[in-house]
Amino acid sequence: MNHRFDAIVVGAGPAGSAAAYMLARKGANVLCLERGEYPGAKNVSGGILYGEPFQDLADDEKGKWPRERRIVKYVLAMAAGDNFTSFTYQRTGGEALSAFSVLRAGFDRWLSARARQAGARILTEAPVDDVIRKNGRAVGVKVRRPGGDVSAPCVILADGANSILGKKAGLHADFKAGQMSLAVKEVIKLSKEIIDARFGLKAEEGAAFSIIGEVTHGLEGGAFLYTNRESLSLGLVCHMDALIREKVKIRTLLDQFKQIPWVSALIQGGALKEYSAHLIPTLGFRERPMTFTHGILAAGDAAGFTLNTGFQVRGMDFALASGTAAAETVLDAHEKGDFSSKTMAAYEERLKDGYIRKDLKTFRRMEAAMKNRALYAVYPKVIGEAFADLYLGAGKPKKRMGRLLWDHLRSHRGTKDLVKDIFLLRRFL
Amino acid sequence: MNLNERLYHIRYRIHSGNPHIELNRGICEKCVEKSCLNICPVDNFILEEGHVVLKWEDCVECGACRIACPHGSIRWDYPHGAYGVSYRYG
Repeated sequence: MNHRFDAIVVGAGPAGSAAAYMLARKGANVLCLERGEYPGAKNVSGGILYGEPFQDLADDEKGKWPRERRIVKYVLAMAAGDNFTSFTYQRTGGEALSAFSVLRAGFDRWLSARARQAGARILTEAPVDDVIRKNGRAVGVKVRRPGGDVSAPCVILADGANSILGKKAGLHADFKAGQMSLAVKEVIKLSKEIIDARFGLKAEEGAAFSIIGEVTHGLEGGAFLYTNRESLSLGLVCHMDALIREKVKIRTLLDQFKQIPWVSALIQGGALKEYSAHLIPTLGFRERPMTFTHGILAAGDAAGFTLNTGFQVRGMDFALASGTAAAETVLDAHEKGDFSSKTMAAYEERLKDGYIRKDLKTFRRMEAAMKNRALYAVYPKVIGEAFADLYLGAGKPKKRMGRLLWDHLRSHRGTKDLVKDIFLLRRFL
Repeated sequence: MNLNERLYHIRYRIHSGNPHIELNRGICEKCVEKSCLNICPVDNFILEEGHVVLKWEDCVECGACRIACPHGSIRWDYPHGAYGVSYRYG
């Protein structure tokens, strides 16, 4: 069968564009289809991109891609009532941290342009309705455009968190509320000078806050706040099943988060530029979708490649790396002239050799640990109260910190709970 | 902050007369949970005289309603090319 393209990539986010770029660079005739008006039109950055977007960026390209700030300061915080407890890590010299805040409308457009420069064909405003299969094997896609069927011997699905195509291709069943988190975000405009002064930053330095506790009413999830060049990105992420269980609107939680005095001080005078919402797969290692079948590979969010370690929330770096690995698998398949699932299975091997599978496996118990509600509802209180006792009540006899923590812990947690929590702590560390 | 102010800052191209979400009335009438009402981040689902009413035009295409609905009442597809939400920042 004569195919019009060597490969079709669905979606021009980081996974899709990384795949299209790699395929084109190696001389493959690749088509990348994007349903939005432009790459990034439907996408929302959940935070930080860890690492440079491409391994082969020339030195003079390294500072030039559309990133917002280099994150040098991380604040992990717990909010409970009048108590706000935080831990800050700041890199003050030496080897620079390779972590960047990005805004996706600009970032995804740049990635896609790079794939186009390498020779990939990019088509926007082109939703894909299905993968066309013959004898159980992918032979093209159905594009929702006049005369819209396009043929290729393999298809890379980089169609995002909902991955409707992945479901149609049998890579996963319908996702359940327990497997997804809902995120909302506001981009708030502030001048560079104000951001630098408020967050103690200079030049292109940036800061990232993750906060758990009362910011989500103790629900599973958390708030984030990070600096862009001339704006702040602020938002909330909650497990969907928690929002459904408690009948809470995430928008209401966001309003309340912004009213916390230390938050409102940071965003004061800022102008809202955009409100957005997106799903984040929180499937865990065991429940993640299949990543391949005959002539089909899935990458990025579509493959469930996201990870929350409690200290870092990752997705964009996994998307770029898995898109590249998918492209390499397709290139090998072309060489062999075999697109069966047996050849596609080499994708999993590539992922195993890379860091994605290793990291997902290392942190495989995290999804379960993150579902322990005490982490959000109890511990921020315990720690906040212990510190409050430490610093309040001048002129009275003091207890040692260990004793304070223990007393507050015992007032909130029974012996059985504590045993459970120790297991939780082990998973974290 | 009220929702309208938030919606005001989102760029949309609305495909009039072409809803990309449809409800199965029969299922919605019997539904007790009505999870859609709370889960939608832009309040596309509202209760009017006891019935769930859908305003799909403000949809930001997150897909949360589709997953939240325990009865599969929501037929949800992506809008046609270039229609729907176009984030300017993302």
